[in-house]
Amino acid sequence: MTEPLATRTQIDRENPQKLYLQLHNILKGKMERQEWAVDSQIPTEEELCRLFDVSKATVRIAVADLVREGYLRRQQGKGTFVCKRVIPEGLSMLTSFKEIMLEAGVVFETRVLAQTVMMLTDELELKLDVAENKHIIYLKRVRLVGEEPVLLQESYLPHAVCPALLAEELEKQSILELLEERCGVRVTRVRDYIEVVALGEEEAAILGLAAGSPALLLEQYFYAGDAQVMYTRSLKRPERFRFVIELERK
Amino acid sequence: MTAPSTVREIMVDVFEYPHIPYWFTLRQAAGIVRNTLLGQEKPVHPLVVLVFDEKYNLVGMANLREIMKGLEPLWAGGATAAARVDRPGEKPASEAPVATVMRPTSAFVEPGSSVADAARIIVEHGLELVPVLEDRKKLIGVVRWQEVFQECSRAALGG
Repeated sequence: MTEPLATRTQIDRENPQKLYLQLHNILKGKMERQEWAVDSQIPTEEELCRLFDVSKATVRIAVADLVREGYLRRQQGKGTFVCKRVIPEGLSMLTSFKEIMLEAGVVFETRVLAQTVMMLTDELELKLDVAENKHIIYLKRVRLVGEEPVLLQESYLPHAVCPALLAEELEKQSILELLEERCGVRVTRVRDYIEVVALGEEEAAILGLAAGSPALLLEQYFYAGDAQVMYTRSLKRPERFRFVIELERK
Repeated sequence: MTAPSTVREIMVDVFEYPHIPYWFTLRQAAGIVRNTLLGQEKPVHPLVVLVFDEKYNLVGMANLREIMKGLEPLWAGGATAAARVDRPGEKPASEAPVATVMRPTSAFVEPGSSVADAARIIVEHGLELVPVLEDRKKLIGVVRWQEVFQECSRAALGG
């Protein structure tokens, strides 16, 4: 099984992911696990090159990204330091499943209901920016806590974005991680729409509710730069989720 | 030039053809046919959509005739709504799943199979396309009847 990004500590040259992204994730992991303490100075550019056997350019991009994201700060003439508080990647990133379950530390199970290919339909035309004759990867997953289904999620991605997703085990890994790790696609912007909807028959049956029951619908549009890479439609049992939106002025 | 002996040499990419999950309706399938198979400057032949299950296994294929036949109740009686055979409480024909009109996958070849094997399947099963499966499982391409015809016609025409 693939080692999760957060615990990887060395560059893997067999990995199709770009080196600066790998280094970025390794350094980020060190700060999140507090191997690099708050306010401590991180190794110099030259030391990082030697430690990870990468070029100066790779180190520069990875460090610059971490500075921009608020993990690191540069001090003129002194070096680069770990910031006091780690700022999340973005507000939208906060609405990932694990972070919005009401019960902390809850264990959930993922079942994959579909992992296949389709074409654009009229219904999808406004949701996913892809040419009509292009293939789309369709993923449908249900999340359960105990035996209770709490979230039904359907994701649509242009096939060309990450063909490898078709062969991945989606029970254990997040799509965003796989996109980055397998295909070097880094999501930089997410737009969320939240509304309350009445469940259709099939959706209600999967969530174990009566047809017409209310549910929270979270629609997410994912972009890497200017290109849309995914559209996700998640139906949630309303009593199990709470949305947290934290705004921070820099 | 030597004639191709295995299907590997003449197969084409499956992504040349539209993919449809079996639960898509005939209305959706017809829209996809229009936008993909017929909507391109150089349409791909044969005019066929590939039908997959939720695990991306090929379960069948449907050509334009089969989709049209499924939609027959909508067009057979002309343009008048009264002539349609929809019954109260029943879904219109356009909402039937494509699985009801497709031809289920009945045969396949492997990349190392001979072109003659593919030809035999095309003739016996009445197929326009034969799936090429690796290890009897993974779909890696399709063999089309036009390429197979090219090869088989050598026997009659020479060269």
